[in-house]
Amino acid sequence: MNQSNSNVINTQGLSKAYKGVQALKPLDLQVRQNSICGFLGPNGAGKSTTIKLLLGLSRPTGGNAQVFGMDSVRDSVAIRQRVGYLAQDPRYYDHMTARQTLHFTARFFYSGPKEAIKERITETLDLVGLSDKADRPIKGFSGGERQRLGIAQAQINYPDLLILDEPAAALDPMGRRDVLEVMERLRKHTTIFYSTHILDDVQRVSDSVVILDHGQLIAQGPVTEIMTGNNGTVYTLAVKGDGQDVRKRIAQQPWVKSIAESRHNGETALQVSITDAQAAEAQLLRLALADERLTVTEFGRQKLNLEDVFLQLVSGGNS
Amino acid sequence: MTTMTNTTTTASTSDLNQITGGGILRGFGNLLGNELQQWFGTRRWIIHLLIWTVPVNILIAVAVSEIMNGNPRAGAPPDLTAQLVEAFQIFFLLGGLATGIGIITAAQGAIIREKQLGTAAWVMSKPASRPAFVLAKFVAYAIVFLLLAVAIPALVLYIQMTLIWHYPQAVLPFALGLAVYTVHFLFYLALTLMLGTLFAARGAVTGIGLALVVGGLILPNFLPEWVMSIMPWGLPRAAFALTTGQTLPPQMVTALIVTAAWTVIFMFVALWRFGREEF
Repeated sequence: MNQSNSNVINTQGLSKAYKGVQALKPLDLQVRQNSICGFLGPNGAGKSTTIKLLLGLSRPTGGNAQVFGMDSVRDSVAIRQRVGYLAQDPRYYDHMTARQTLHFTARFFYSGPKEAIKERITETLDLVGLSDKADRPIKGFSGGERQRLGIAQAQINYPDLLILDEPAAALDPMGRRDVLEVMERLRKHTTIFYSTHILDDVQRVSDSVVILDHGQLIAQGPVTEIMTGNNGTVYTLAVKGDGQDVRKRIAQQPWVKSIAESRHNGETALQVSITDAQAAEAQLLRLALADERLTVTEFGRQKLNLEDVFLQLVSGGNS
Repeated sequence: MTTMTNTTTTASTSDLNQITGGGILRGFGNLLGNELQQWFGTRRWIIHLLIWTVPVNILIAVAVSEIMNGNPRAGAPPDLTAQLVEAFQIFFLLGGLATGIGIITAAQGAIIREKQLGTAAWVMSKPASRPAFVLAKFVAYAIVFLLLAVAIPALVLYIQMTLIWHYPQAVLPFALGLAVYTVHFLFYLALTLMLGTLFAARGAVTGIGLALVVGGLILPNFLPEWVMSIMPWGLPRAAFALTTGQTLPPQMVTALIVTAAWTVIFMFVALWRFGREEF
């Protein structure tokens, strides 16, 4: 299977403008099969717009999107047959109970038999922990219960792709944990593309990340790759004394991309951005220790968390 | 606190008959069922049944009784034709005005409410076609009003005539009259749904619809006669004429055809506009 075939979502120059305002700038997006892809961006970045375009709820003003190789405009019904979707602010018919809502949803996918549909509904209610509230009108549901129902209705059809827009937004920490667990369990069967503001969650469960800002793609790739930051792998080296000589020596190495320096209380801290992690690991510390006048006080590969990277990318506004 | 279970999903798709195909009416049956459930699964249908049956049929009963008792001062004998005419006039002319207003009032939020609440977006995220969404509303409201505002009141009137006043009415002319009467309310239903797809606020939908109904009471006096041929205003009178055995004048036949055409056009516009809706 080649790369494009193993992608569940593929967009080429997908864009959307509302009354002259560019909500989404041309976007080339790929989401691989059976991955959990976190879709990040500040409010108004264009995340929900992208999701709606993928589902055919909105029409692109430029470019195109394929989901399962099908066109998002022309084949939207066929796409939705294989997708489960949870909206950011999910709304259902308030007069219905949770069970009726799931029955109504299931009937878009299955014609019968009645018993099998009932069984599927019961199983789904159980999965999201709504069994005891299944026959209450959803008018009285809390935000968290609505969100659970949202997850239930999104996966009633055993979707090949789950698109979740802020799935944990209205949940307490326990609910959030449960949602992540459900997502991890479902990854065996499905691809999950979800938007969120909770970066810890993304770091915890996602394989890949897409970051949008002001309608523009600013980063896309595996979480581990994104986490290395904008400058590739970075090593931190702190020495006591004048670090100019060691800095020069390090800068001469072919695997060094750039060096940032800062000085505090007689210490020199170097942020060494490198292109070859193996070479850096083997040689960098030796280069520093070669100067006997210096004491190395800190050495290590810089570990950014996703929040650092996200803020760096979003506030930096570069790609 | 309720938590999500840690069991993995056990059921499989092999037990379930999957609906396939992305036809233009995909999801129609489910959507229609849901619409009808909102009427017949609640007390809403009883309320409407009472609204459409009780006042009109009581009014007819009172009016006919007065004729049957004669005018005490003049001592005139009961006029059988007048009884029939009075009964059908009330049923079709007053009922026509009421069903026009009623269908606009009942259906004004059918599409707008779902757009505003976000339920339309939710439904459209499932494998349901947009035409199915609009047509399910049209068919559901048509069934409900045909049953509650036309068929049952007409049946009550027929029973009043045959069993109480012992003046059996030929079924075919009455049925033809009811068919024309149905075309009349379907026009307002299609108009209301179309306006619901075009506007974002109920005020515009209700305002335009009611203005058209009320305009039918006033405007014919000021407008050229040909306008009546392209508007539905004369249809309740045409229904009354057919029921009482009169031949329809060409202008009414034209009005009937044009009204049916308007209804189809409105539905096409509604389908086109809803097909372009951005959620």
